[in-house]
Amino acid sequence: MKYADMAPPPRSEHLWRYTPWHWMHPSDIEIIPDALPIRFEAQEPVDMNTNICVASSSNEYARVFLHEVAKSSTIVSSSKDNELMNLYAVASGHVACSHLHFNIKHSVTILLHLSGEADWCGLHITSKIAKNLNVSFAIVNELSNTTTYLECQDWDIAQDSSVEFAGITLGGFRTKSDIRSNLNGRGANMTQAISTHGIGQRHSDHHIEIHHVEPHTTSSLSAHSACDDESHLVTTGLLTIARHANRSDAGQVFRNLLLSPKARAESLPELEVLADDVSAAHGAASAPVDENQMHYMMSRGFSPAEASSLIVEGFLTAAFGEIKNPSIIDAVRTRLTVHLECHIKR
Amino acid sequence: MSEQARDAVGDYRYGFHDPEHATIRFDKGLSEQVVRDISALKNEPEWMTEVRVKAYHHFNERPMPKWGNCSELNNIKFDDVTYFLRSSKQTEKNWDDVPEDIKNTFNRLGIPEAEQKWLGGVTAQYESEAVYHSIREDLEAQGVIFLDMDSGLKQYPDIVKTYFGTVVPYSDNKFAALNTAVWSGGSFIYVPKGVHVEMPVQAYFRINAKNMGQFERTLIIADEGSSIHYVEGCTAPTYSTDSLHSAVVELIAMKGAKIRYSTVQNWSSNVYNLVTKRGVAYENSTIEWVDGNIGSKLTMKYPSVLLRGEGAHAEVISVAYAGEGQHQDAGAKVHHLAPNTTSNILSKSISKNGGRSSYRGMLQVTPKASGCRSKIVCDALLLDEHSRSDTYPTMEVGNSTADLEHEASVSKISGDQLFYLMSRGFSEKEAMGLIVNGFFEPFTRELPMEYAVELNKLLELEMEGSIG
Amino acid sequence: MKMGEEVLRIENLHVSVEGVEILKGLTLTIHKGEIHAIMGRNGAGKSTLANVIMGHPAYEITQGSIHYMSKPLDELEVFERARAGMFLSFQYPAVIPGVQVGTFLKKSTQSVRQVELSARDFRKELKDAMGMLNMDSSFLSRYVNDGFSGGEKKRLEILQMLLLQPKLALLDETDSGLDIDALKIVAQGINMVAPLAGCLIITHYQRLLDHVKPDYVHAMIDGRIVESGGPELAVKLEEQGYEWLEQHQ
Repeated sequence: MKYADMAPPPRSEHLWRYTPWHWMHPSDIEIIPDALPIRFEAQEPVDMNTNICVASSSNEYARVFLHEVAKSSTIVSSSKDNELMNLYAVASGHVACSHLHFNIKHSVTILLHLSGEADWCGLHITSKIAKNLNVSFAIVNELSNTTTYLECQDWDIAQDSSVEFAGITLGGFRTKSDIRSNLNGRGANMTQAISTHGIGQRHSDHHIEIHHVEPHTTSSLSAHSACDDESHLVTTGLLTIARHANRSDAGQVFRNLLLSPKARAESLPELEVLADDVSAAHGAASAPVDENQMHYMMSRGFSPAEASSLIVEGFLTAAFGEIKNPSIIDAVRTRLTVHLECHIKR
Repeated sequence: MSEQARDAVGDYRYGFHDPEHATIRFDKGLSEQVVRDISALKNEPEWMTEVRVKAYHHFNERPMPKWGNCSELNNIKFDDVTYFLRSSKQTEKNWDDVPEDIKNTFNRLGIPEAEQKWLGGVTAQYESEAVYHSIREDLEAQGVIFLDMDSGLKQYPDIVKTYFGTVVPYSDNKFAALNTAVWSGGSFIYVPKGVHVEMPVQAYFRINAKNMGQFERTLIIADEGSSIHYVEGCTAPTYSTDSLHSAVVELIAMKGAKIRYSTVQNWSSNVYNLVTKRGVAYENSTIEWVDGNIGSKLTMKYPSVLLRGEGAHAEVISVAYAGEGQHQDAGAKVHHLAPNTTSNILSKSISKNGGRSSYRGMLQVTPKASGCRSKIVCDALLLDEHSRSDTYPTMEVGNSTADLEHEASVSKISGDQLFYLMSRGFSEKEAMGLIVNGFFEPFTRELPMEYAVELNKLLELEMEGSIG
Repeated sequence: MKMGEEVLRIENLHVSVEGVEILKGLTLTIHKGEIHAIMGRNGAGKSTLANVIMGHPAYEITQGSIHYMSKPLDELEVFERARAGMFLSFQYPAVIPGVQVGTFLKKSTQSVRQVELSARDFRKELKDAMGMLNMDSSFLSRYVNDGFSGGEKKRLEILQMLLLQPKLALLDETDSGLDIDALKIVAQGINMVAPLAGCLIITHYQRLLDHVKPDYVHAMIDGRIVESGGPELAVKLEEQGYEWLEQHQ
């Protein structure tokens, strides 16, 4: 499919309900803009190659678009078990866009720090994960507060492989992340934690799909959104359990913490179950800051801003409760603490 | 019933049909003229005719919804539907005056018996119009109005004009437009200030003819501090061709009033059931939807409440049972538009023999509505691996003080439960029936006893043949 | 020695669960009026024995036979066994949400006895049995085992046993987790049913046997009965454990 031949997605599709396409496009929606590649660097040497970007194998609108805008594909391959890859992605210029592919044959940990001042940034992450691996991945979005960020991710997880996924959004003006995982083999697992901090006028939209294609697959997702100022945070989910994917176990929790009268939050955790011998549960909750907590902390000398910052930190960290990889936890927590300290001082 | 007929009817116990005896029957299909003819036949005021015609044009222009079970929706052949059929010259107040064969139908459904025992009023609608109507004298003396909608429009045109279409405007959706264009029958209720109607009032809707469309319109207004419990039941015969049921229900609960609207819908599996139900709740009032969906081919129904006054409360309890070839797409919508409003939604669904049940919900809190609380619980039970359960909840929170919770789970009957019950002498069928009844208990508890018993029997019947 | 009619005869029974053999050649005969106690450590196969007699679908008989009232059991479904007079008091009774105890008991009693019970007669019978077990009538409006404490669950099991009047009563660890008062009540229930039935009590502990006097005590190790005797065997097992039996083997 070519982008020019496709009709823009209607808002009646849940994926585009709160963040229509024309908000995410860098200019006029008919245009394929000129883009610089996102610059990728690794802290320690990593097997990394850059090729010309080919068309998307998916017919999904945003993915087709990203592949037509991106000039290059960066392919990162694992080289040994227990490898820790510290990757830095920097987006600069007016429009920055890349395709990033992970070719994973070992049990590795990948930390991807995304930053930069680009006006518009597009990133499509794809992956191929071989059988029987334990992979941990974290993505920290610290783009500038003026960047519009369009992200798609596709995770294909083979038999007996397990992926821990941590995502934290601390930057961007308007962001849309469409993250899809396919549990393609028996015993495949996805443990996913996603935290978003809404400040200023940030509009941040996460769409998270998890598909249980085969039996005996497990997944858990917790998505926490702290909404402050005039921010608008959206989380839509689609969890499917295919026919015959019996003995699958899936759980999802979406939580919103509303901190300001002008903040807004949307949650749509959807569930489609076609197999009967499964355990599937999801929940969503939205609640104000607990006044008793605030009162207690202020009685111990915290200013309201400090107290609420601590509550936010606790709330956003709690999403990562099921992530076990210490490097991931450490990275996410450090970035969150730094971010909140900067935020409080502003 | 002949054996052949029995085969066609299958498990559905209300699948019999009586010979049709129309006094007026419109040709199939819909046009502006049909709409005008229906209105003229009923001697309606000019404004109603105009509303109908506007709605008709809106219906024509409005595309089919692009969500839900689109392929099934697109199967509806609007040109094959009979939009109006009159079976009796007038609405009788005395049961003896109802035409003999219609009376037979309702006797078989047990309606007159129920009226004597436990109802405050009854209206019975056959095809397009009410054939029988009664209300207890003491209620009438207190100023309670309980009429079929056509009589309501004749006798209280001002009240109807004030409220008709204010809760569900014809432009709300394609099927609300269709209903507004061709509506006939339904109930009109007004409960005066401070009057509590202690016994439930009931409406019974029966489609008898083939390819019939039933489009009743119900309007209930509970004035300040009053209360009422309205119960409706629906059945239709089993034909090989499809029928269409597209009702609109509008509820208005004034300050401090309480309306409970209970439905046990048991359509045969060839009925498209596409209903818009919505209530507006003012200050400290309560609207409760108790909604049971059994049968039909496709049901799309999301009882809604607009919590417009401070302290108003909404309660939606629904169950859905999707059997072979059936899709129950049901749910609830609650809009918290005022401060300190609260809501509870409980949805339970069972899918078996390839049936599909979907929960579709919307919970909205607008920026002005501070201090709102809501809790949603959705439980689904899948009885076999051919069936399907979906949950499509939406939460839109625009106020930071809102405290909302949504929980959903999907499960199957456990082997331990079956073994335990069978070790107590229950056959597998009986054990399944017991578990299913237990699963629906939070719903049946809310129904008048007679309905609860009936529903349990119905579910047990539905369970028959569910074991291979 | 008293000798009623034969209720249960198990011969060389081998049972597997998901391919793993749990019972490895067990033989046991129970007559009407006899109380048998089977003792053994966790994993010896005691609960498997109770479940397989009742016909749990997860257990596969690979060899040997079970006769009930002198007829082979293999073809009977679980509920047919119940209607034929077999009763199992579960170690972990299932929770049936939404189904009230009162409704459940009446329906169950009717289906086992295969008669319509008048509401009045049944109420009286129920009241007497519950009085005996020191159960409050508020039990009847609760949901079956839903939110019940361990002791409440066990009492409900015994209540059902009294109502269903079995010919064979299998009691799987009915004494576990009970305080002494509850234990006495449970024992009283068993003693009421015992003279008219064959009774098989599965337990870890000797203390129930202080209140229900067994005619036979069997020690079970690794899917077999390795030692049988009178009440004195229970005392010995409690005091000395099972090691001396293992050395025997």
